[in-house]
Amino acid sequence: MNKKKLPKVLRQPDANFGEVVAGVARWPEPVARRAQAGEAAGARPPAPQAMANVIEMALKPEASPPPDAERASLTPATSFDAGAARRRPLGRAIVERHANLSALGGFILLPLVNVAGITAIIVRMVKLLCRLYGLPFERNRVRAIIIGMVGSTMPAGLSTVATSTMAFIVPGSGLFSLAVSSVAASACTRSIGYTIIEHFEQGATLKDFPVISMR
Amino acid sequence: MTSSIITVATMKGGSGKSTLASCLAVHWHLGGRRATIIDTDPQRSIVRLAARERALGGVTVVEDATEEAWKAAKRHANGFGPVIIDTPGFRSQSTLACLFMTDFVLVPVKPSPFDVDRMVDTLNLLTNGVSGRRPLFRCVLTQTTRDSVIAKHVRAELTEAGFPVLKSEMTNRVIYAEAALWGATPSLIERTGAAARDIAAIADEVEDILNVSRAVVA
Repeated sequence: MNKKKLPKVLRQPDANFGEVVAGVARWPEPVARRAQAGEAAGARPPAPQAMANVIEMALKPEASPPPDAERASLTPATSFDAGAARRRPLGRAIVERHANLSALGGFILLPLVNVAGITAIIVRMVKLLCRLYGLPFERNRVRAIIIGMVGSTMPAGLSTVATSTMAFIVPGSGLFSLAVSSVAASACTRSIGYTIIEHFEQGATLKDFPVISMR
Repeated sequence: MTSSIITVATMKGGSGKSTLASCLAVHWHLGGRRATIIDTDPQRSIVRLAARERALGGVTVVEDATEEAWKAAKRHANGFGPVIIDTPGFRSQSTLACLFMTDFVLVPVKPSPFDVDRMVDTLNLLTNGVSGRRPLFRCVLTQTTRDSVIAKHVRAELTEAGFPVLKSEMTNRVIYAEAALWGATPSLIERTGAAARDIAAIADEVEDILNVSRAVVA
């Protein structure tokens, strides 16, 4: 004979259904209904152990927007508390500002130094984006991500930067290489910035940044 | 049980309501009673079954998925045979109305936690939700695997908890689906087969309960 031990099928094992059926006792409330009643009353009852893994589909209430005076003084570095709706435009502003800085960095006349400078600008941009989204920042990880993205998502971009940098050495092509380097650096920064914003908007962090899928 | 109204109800789909209703009706019909089925399910399972070749052996089928279905049941209960109401697998006004005026409710339940949960909900509705009226009811295990641990486990637990469960049960057999291809039930295809015996046992238990109930009232 099979001695398999099975768990209870009834979720109200303490209820005496015999008395309920006979009309002597009241019908016990199902677990879900008890929870519902608690919510309606405003107090959330402690979830039973068995319901701990139930995913709630209700949206979390957004933080109330700050008063106008406070909003005016907000900078991107501190505005991550201002609510999810305002993060994306602030993030875009950060990206645009750093894209312009990168364009300026492209004008650095020293070969390879300008690439290092642009990388530093991008790292700073990611740092600010992390602060905006309230996420931890790890410089080494960001560097690896940037190298991974620039080297694979935009091979043309990196090669253009590299080529234009090398072109400084060639006499007579200075102005042209400056322009190309500047535009490519700006485009790289903007592209990386928007990709990271989309990544953070989905609730992810730098740790689970899928460089391969972004390529 | 000359013209009792029996409602087969549970708020869980796929529990075997239509199969149970049609099998009981055909069984009583073959026994010489004029059984009628009221199909209140918008899925029209029994109506579709009756449209096939064997047409449920000639059992009268009335299609009425409105809130007035109980009136049709009352009309046909004035005859000489039982009226069986097949209800939809969800909470509906037609089901509530039928539960209000029925003589007996059969609650089919498969031996699974999903079905048991919905059975409990249905019985809650039966005992609390129908205008204070408490109709006579029994649970019946359906689609069970013979001698399976889970079927025994569920039966034991329901009985222990105080739920009235019929001793007989509808064991899962391929003949139900095969018979349905002909618009029939096992009682029509194989009168002395195991499935037909299961149905007869359930029908006998229901009759006994109704007879005892009537004797008590008288």
